[in-house]
Amino acid sequence: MTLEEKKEKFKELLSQLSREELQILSQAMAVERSKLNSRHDNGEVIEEIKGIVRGVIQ
Amino acid sequence: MILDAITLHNFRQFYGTQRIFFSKDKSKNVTVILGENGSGKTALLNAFSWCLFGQTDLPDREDILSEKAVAEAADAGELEAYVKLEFNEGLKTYYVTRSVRGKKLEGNRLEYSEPVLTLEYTDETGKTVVPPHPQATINRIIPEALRTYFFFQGETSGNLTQKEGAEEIKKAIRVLMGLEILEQTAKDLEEAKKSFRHESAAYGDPEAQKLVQEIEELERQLSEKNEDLRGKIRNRDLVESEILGVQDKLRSLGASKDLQERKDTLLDQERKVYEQIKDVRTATIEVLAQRGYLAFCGNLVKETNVFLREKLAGGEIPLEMNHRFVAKLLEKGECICGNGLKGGAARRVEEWLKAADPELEEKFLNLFADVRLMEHDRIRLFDELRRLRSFKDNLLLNLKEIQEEIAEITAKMEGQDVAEVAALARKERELKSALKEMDEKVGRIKGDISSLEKTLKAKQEELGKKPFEGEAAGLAKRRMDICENIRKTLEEVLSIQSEDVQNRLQQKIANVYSRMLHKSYEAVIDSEYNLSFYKYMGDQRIPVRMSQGERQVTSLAFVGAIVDVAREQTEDKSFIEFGGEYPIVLDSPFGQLDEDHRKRTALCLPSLSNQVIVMVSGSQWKGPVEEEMKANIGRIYHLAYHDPKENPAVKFEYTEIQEGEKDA
Repeated sequence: MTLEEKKEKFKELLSQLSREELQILSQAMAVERSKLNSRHDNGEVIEEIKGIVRGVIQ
Repeated sequence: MILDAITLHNFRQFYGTQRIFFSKDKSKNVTVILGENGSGKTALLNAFSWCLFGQTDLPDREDILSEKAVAEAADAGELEAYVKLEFNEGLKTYYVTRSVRGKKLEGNRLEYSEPVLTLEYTDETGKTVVPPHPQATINRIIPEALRTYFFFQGETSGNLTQKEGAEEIKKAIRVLMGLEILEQTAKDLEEAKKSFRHESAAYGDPEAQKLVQEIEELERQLSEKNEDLRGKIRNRDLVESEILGVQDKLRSLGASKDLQERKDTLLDQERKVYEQIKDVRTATIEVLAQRGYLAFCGNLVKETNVFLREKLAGGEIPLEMNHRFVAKLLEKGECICGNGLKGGAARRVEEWLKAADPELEEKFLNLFADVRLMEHDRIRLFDELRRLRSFKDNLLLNLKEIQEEIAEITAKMEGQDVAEVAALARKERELKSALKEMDEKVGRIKGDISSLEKTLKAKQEELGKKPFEGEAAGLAKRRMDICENIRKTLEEVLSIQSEDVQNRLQQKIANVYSRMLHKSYEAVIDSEYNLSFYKYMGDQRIPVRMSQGERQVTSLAFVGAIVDVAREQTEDKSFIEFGGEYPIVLDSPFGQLDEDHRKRTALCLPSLSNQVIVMVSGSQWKGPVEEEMKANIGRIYHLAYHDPKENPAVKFEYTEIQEGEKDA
């Protein structure tokens, strides 16, 4: 698979998500990125993700 | 990460403040640092590690401050040593400084304070930002586990591809390629989903609550089983690699070499026979799935045949003659025997034709044909099954002979006069028996997991059908479904990315390896990033025992492949940040190589990364290495070492960094 083909596949997969789901995904990934290598308690990240979901889906 | 400069202040023999700027020109991407033995090449390499991770592989690793600076300082005076690294990451410029202070005590002794790390960056707008967790930020940019890869010590690196400490390295590769973050997000979304499910159950009826409790219990059991399975697999892999080590040793000992090589051939044959037996089983299953029913149709075919023939003989079924064919004969007025079909004969045939039912006649004819075909297929089915059976019997016989010879060789080895060979052979047998037991346990756990998963799926489907009444329950259900949907998408992205990274690493390693090494070894990387090397003897593939030089080339190929794949991944500008640009900093990469391999490695190195920094002695540099790398040199420095043994005016050793002319 070329990088271009891979990119297309990712695009296709993401296009199946709703606007709200994409919003949650990008925010959750940002939380994960900020905690990568410095996480002590996984529970904190899960709570943050739950907060994001609650905020978007009301 | 592209390096701008390193500044050393009183770090080891680098007295005072000294700076090196690295070439960032893509066509002249090599910075060469020339220095003789003892001049500070390894100290300089370790300055990178110390600055970024607080780690060095130097002797007397606590002694950071320059001897000369300490000697010149006043008693009870305070001194400072630091290393500052400036680098670019995307549009940001980072400044990392690690410093340590020391108080001079009597007899030039020092009392060190805790080293301090500071980090700041300027973003694309020129704004300066100080991240709250400097070490975590650095580890995100360049994982510490890959320290020995990016800052490569040629003489002591050995084989970086070996399994020792591999877990951390695998994790670092996963971080670098974006796999870790995808996996972690998917896991955390799964946990968030479970939490919303629990919440939704609180608003549901007692039956739904009971279902949620059952699901949670099943998930707990499944998680325990999976943890157990991972542990068991790790242990069986260790035993397997121990077996390979023992076999390797037996291959290297004169007293067992021939026997082990014969055993290797037999083990390879045994593997192939097992594969063939598996193929025969698959073929038999396929034949039975497609035509197996014929085996049970024996009586039916026979009885139908007898029945049809009896009806035919009794005149209850019309002749085996086609209605349309007879009508054509009448039309032509000619019988099949050649005589005319006219007058009374023609009338009789016409009457018979009128009385006959063409549809019924055709159906009977088709039935005759089908019954004959079934009979034929039935015979073919039994022939095919007999052939497969006989092939399998021959394979089993062959397998038995191979296994007997393997057992014979093992017994011979165990009875060897050379105690080491006998002990190794016994150890191999014991390990193999342990491995068999472990595989059985793994199989049992996999069976348990599969049955738990099946039950869990059924319960989840049952819960999915339950109506969630009330606004709060509906909202929790929606949140739960959304977490699940995102998680599923991430799992698919992860699977594509994992496969892509593995394929790319495999291709790159094979490519770099073939360019650097003149022997045609085959490099294979598995999904866990374990790298193995093989050579072929005839059509037999055997693991390679490498020389020290070959191990060094292998490590370099691995480093090059990781950096190259990471660089390629940055081209993907999707929502996930994959890969990144990384420099390769190499200390004495040519030390253990012969002239041919030096030349090949020098030719290949500039293409491995966008930025290559090579520290090398004059004797390793002159000749083929310089020739091959000349066109790619962007900057060149010399480490001028001042040695008290050679110059009495110099009281303490120190090294000066001098920029040189790259075309000189």
